[in-house]
Amino acid sequence: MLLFSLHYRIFTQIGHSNMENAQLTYDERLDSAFLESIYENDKEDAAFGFEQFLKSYPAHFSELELCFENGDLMLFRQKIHKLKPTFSFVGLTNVTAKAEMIERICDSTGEFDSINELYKDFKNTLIELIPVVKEEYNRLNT
Amino acid sequence: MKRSVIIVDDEPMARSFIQRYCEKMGNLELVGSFEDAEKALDFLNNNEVDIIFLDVEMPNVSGFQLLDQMTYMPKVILTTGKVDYAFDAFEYGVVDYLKKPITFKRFQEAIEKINFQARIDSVENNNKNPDVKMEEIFIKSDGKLTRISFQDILYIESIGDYVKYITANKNYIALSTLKAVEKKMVGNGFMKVHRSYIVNLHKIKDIKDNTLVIEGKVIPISRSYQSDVKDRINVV
Repeated sequence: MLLFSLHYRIFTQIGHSNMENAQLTYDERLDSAFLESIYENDKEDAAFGFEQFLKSYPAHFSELELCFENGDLMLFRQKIHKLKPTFSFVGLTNVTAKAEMIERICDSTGEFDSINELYKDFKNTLIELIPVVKEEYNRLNT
Repeated sequence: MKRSVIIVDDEPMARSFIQRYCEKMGNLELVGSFEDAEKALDFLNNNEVDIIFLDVEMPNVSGFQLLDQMTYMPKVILTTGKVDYAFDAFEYGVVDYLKKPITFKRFQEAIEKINFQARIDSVENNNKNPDVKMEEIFIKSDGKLTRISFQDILYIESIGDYVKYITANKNYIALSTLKAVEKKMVGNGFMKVHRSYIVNLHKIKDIKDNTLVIEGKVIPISRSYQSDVKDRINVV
């Protein structure tokens, strides 16, 4: 009985310790290195980041779309500047980079024509990767 | 004791994370979270806080412009996506400079810097004579901080979003509210006598009915302050 108890304690301690130290892994389509650098293997922080992004991006993205459709370049530039860093919180650093490029072109040319293609690419990449972000969020919550 | 904190950042995710980190620390109390500097300034003019997490690049008013308009200086931690502002940060005497996205570890280090500074301030304050009252103030006017001795100020007048400090030689206009000034000066020989006036009690020449005179200027005394004024001066 004593031996069993000892084995049980060692087993549970090892198990607990492994759970605490287990390295978080992310979907390969997301920037794992970046996610590791910001969440430092804290699963709760990571889940929080993904949750905040999924909650907030639809409204912000709709605002951005509206500015694009209305041709309001100044407001569009403001919105994309504000939205840009949020993609990195879910490992979409490539989307952040595309947003940054659009912002820079807005600043330099001041014309919508020059960002049309880039914006389409930005939007398509985002739409393609949102399901990955959702999957990852569900996985972080298990 | 918990330190009061506000966040000024136009990025919602950045605000959410700083709020989360404040909660995780346990010794920080978030008293305001603002997406633009103008709303934050309104709050800061009426409330004194210990720490500001301040974004630099915001629409309309930047983080540095907000600091320019403040009448007091809490501990400032800049939060920004770029590292280009390091020199300005140094000039403004900010405690730390956090590059976004901010990790909890880096956040903790910034707070530890504030704690360290507070310990130094506390030692320095203990070495000072506690009976010595604050006798001067720095006023942010014309883009610089000017030291003014309390004894030189005749009265202070509210003009919309500004206050005017009237001395015998010069007037200084600063972006502030009379309420913020009241917090700093009343009790140091100054008294509010009207919603638009704080006066130096030592400079009053005459008092008659509901007015007082300082250097020829007739200043109204509100009915609600009349008995307080009489209590504060020596009437023989």
